[in-house]
Amino acid sequence: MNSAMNSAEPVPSVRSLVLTYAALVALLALTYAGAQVHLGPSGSTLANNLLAFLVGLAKAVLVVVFFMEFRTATKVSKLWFAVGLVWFALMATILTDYLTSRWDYRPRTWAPVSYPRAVVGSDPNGGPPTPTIDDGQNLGRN
Amino acid sequence: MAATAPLEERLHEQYEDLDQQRQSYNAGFWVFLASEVMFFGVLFLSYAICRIWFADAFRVVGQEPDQKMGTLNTLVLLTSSLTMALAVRAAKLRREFPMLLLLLATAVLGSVFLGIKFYEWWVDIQHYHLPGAAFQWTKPGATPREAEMFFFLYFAMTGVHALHLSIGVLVVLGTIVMYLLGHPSVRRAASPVEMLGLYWHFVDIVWVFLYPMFYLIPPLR
Repeated sequence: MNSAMNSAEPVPSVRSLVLTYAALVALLALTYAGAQVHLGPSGSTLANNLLAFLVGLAKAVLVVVFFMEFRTATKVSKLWFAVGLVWFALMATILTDYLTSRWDYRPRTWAPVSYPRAVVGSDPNGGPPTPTIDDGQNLGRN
Repeated sequence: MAATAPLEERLHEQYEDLDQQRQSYNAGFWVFLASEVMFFGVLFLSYAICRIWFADAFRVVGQEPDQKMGTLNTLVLLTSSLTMALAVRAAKLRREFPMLLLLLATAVLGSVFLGIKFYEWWVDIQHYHLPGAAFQWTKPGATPREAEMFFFLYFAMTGVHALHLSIGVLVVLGTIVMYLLGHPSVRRAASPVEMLGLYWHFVDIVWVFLYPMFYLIPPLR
């Protein structure tokens, strides 16, 4: 009929695409229903958050594998997909700083800070006075 | 109208054969998508930091976006991904008329998504939730600064996503017009529609994560 018929280019079946869509809608219904009820122990939102994230991940995998035809992509295309993930993982290492360092020089009004504050001359051994951190955000509250 | 038969796909001189040419186009587009991962990645990481820092406040402010609207929009976008995937299939099989119809359906669904999104933003702005001088937040459980941080991320991330989707809708419509005008670059090969499909699905994936991040934050119970 035409050039597409004798081409090696893989063509997905309508059935696989429609089934993928059905699975995506089912996952959407699952995540919406899951958000209407409280899961896990009282006072913890972990189970709800985990469900929402995992369902999102499952939807993304379905879209990549079936809609973006990842299975039949070449090795170079797959490599670039992996590169995207690695780049994101490298960027995510910035969290190691944000979640471990003392970031209490953000404006105090944003969130209560429970870190112990250094006080001038507080060393019981009579050592040199510990300097306070003057970051310009205290605005005379200390 | 697209009454004439599809033109033969042209082999450019730097490629061995048509398969290598198509695979190079495909790989090149994945390079672009990898760069898009970095573009959206910074926003996702900013969100992660704020969600952890202001966990209690986000549980309160996170109840503001309309969950039903977000769910409806997710359904619309997932449906548009199906029509786009079917359009790519039709393009590969050189079935012109179904391809054009499916592309049109994709553009319409994308526009419906944008319409719902614009309506939501309009409601948010009416409630003084747009970050800036006019921002207001009086409910207990979150300080105005924390609430503003949530809405900054909300407007920035859904805004950048909507910008991507708007570009997608325009390119889909442009492809249809070029096809109807008989432009050879779209009539010779399925590759342009394939690339468009990859872009569309990527934007869909971004939304798949934005949806639970802004609409499904569980309240503390």
